Amino acid sequence: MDTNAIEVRGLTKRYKDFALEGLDLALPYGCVLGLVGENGAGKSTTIRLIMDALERDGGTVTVLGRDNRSREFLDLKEDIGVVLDETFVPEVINAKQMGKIMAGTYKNWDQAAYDGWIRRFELPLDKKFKDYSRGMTMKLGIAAALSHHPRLLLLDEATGGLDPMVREELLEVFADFAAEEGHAVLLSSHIVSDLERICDYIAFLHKGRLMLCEEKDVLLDKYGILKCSREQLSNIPEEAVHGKRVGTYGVEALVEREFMPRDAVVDRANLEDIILYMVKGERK
Amino acid sequence: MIGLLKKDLYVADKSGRLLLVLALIFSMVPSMGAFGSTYAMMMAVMMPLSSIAYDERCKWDRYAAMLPYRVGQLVWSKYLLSYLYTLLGGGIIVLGAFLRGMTTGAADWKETAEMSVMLAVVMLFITALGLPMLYRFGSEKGRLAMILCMGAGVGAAMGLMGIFGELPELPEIPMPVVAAAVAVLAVGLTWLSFRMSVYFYRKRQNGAYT
Repeated sequence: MDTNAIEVRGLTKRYKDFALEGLDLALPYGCVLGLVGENGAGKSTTIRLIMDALERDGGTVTVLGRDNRSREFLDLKEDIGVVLDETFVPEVINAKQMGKIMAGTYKNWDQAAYDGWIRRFELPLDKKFKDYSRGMTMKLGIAAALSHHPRLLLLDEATGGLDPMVREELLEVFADFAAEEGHAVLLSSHIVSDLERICDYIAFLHKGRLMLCEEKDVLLDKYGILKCSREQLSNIPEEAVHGKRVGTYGVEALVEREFMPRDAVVDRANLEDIILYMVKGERK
Repeated sequence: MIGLLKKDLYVADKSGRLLLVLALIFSMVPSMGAFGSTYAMMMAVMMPLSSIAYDERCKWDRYAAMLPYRVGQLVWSKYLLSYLYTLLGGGIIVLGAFLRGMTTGAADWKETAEMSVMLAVVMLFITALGLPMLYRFGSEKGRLAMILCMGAGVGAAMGLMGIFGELPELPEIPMPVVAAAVAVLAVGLTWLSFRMSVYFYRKRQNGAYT
């Protein structure tokens, strides 16, 4: 078996007003990759390109060991569960009918598993989608995505707009799924705290460009927040500073620890700090 | 494919059943003449149209692209839906004639058969012409384009009849030959229509018409 569930190389998609340029990503089996970025950064476009739902302008995409443009990829979709940021199912459909639609769609649809998820999520069977809350809608999408026994889950903003209780519950489901052998999860979100909790790898997209893609623990070890005076900062190597905020009493900068002098006090940076400094922090 | 059809039938559920019942009632009333058949045909036209409109509203195509379906299957399911409702429409015309016959004692089976065949042929052509327009222009503009095309066709026919006074006498052609010619034309037109629909669907999926 290949080591990566998803491998993306030089992926490019250009629109009139937006371009995703030269994206490189790899999601190893057994891991959760968090795709983070602001609205419009290209997260949904990336997921659509991975599923070959959009024509790409360049690059290669391999999913579960197959080129996503190959003939076999259609059969491979049986092994991929997808949850989009909305359910995209007509609002007059209910959970019972959704089960029947999916039973007619997936060869390995498991109705008992679906019923189990519906019970676990306490979803009403006969209520129409239009009367569902966002949390219920996302849960139904997840129930449908998990009930054909996928090996790979692609989740596009699946936790966005949900209350903390529901988010917690769903993150647990995703983490349990990824823990099973031969499984992997790609989770796109702009809720960085969710990603920090369950992801093994983080990819950060900004305006269609990949700013970083690294193992989460490596990232957290690599970067830190340095609080110092302007003079002290000027003594730090330029390549070590990835963003800074200049205040009245001094400077706060996102720095790479390995370049820091021994006596420098560098605080721990969380994922949100790293991302915000990289995007908003004034470059040195 | 079964899943796609099920989805469309669930979406049509209540309105579909109401239209079916109304079509049956109109087919049963003797004084309504061909209205019942026309209504059944309208129903067969309306259902795929409203199904595409529903898909557009909930952006179903974005979700469907993630499912194990080829684009051709996604498009062909709408053709099948149209044929399914045409069959239902034909069934209603026959059932209406049967019930009318039971109450009045005289069912005109020849007229019923002609009506059913006409419905099937007209629907084949409307489906073949209409669906590519819906995929190209979307349900709103596509509906208008369909009506304009049908209007232009009827207008052109009436205009030609006006010019020539009456249609020239045509040589007697055996019915099986006419039927075979119409069938070949329908298959050819449907194939061309399907290819166009797939092309437009792909372009739309890639944001060409937004």
